[in-house]
Amino acid sequence: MIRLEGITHHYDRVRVLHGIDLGFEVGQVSAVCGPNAAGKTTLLRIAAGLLKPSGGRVILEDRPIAQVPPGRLAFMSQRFDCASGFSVRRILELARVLIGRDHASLDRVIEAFELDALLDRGVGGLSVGQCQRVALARALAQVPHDGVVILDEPLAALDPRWARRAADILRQRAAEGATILLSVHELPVAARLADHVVLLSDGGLVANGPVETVFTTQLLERAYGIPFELLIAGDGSRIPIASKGI
Amino acid sequence: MRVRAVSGLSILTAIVLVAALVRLTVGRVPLETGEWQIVFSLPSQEVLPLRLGATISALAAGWALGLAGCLLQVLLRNPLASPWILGLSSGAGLGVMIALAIAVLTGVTIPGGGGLMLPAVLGALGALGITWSLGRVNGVLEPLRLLLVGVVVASLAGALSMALQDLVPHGLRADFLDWMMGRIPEAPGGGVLGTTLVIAFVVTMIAAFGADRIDLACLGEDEARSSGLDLGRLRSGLFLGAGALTAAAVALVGPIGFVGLLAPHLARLLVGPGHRLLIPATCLAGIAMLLSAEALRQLIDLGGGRLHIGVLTALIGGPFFLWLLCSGRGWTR
Repeated sequence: MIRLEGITHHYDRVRVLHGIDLGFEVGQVSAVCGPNAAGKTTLLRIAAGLLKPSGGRVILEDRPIAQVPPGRLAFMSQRFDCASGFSVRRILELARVLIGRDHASLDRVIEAFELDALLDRGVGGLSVGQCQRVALARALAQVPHDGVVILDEPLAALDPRWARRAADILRQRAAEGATILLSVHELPVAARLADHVVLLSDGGLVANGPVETVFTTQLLERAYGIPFELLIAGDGSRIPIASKGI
Repeated sequence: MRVRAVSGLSILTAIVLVAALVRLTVGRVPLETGEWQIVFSLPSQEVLPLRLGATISALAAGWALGLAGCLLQVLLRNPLASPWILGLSSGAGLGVMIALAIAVLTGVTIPGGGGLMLPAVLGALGALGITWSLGRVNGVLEPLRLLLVGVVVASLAGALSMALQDLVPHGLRADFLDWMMGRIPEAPGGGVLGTTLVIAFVVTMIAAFGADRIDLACLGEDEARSSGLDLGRLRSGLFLGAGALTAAAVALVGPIGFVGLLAPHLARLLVGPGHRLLIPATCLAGIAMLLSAEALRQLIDLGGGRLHIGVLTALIGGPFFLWLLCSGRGWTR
């Protein structure tokens, strides 16, 4: 479990996060949503221990995040570098190069993300979507099945088929005991993928809880400043979409 | 991939061997007309130590400059990074210029050639210290800040050198300009040559053992750190390693451009981006470039004697770099 306690953060004098108290449970997929500049990426980087907050602390598995040994947490940034020139195989190998190789986990992500045919190709020659599959696979290969995976916009560049496939893979990892925390712009994707949603706006917490309690028209309108409607999907889930007229 | 690496390393090794052979066998015989004739022959007892000295000096400096460029391109995440970007060359130049000015003002005579090595090293280390201390944010080297500080330090040191030229007589200005264009010594000071070789060897070993970490750093800051890499320590190591290599090379041969910039690109073109192979390949590429330029220099005379090595590396390196740039080859980090 990850706990964020009293998190505030400033860049220079600009306040980007304030009063954030959150917990992310083991075995759940948690989605952080909100408009541009809401503080989603900052929140994820703080949760991953990559950015020291101006105030507050992050606790992972009962330890301050700075004391968590490598190999328990993986992070995928929004701007994964596809210009490194390395082959796909090398990028996947590098996921565990400092924490001990695990061929089984590598084979598993290669199969899940259908990367066999791309293994010896340089990432520089891949499409943006293919590169994102490699980045996702690298993150998942880095941690054991009960590890923590933090992903910044992991589905943004994927086509609908691969977005759905990746969502299934993430849900399966959560079912195996992983803690998955990700940021998503597409609210319908968050509604279908996440167990738990955090809604941010202007650096503050608008709502936090199960999808059905957070994705209400009132809370979404408060976060985004525009009206929303909820569509009832075939499986009964409520899918938020922005109302016409924007 | 393995075939590519073996052939790449073989090509570089072959170039090094041929260039060394040319440098050891080419000589100039004075003619009665006052001109020189270029001849290939086994060196006599008298000239062998001189040709060997120049060959080993070019090897040591090329090795150091190539590796320094490779480490800096990782550190700054910038394919344009080279040893001169941190202001080390300009700092060394300023050190030499200060020494010349002090010598003039105090009447002390500086021994030619080797006498300028100590001020060059002090100047380079001074520039290194300034970029190190100002290039950090919260105690960690920050690539963009380091780059900007390096550019400013280089400009300031260059401007101060030019200003100090007014204090010294014309003859010494010529010494300064001669030093600034680079010179492969035929009789290098044993201390400087030995130190350069030791630094190059030690840094190569450390970098080779840390090749996986260097590869990881190329993936991006957040990915690298979340994979367990201590990025701050790695950056400090890259900076200090590159700084020591450059200071040693500058002390040995003066400021020679393009080798540190081009050697990593040439090596990447031949063996790919992985640093397990790229590090030895870059060392070989640096040696091949500088030794080839030194050998080629013996064969060219435009009427004013042999070309300065720095002029030749720029004349060859510039077009080659433009070719790399336009073709997109070897261009990934």
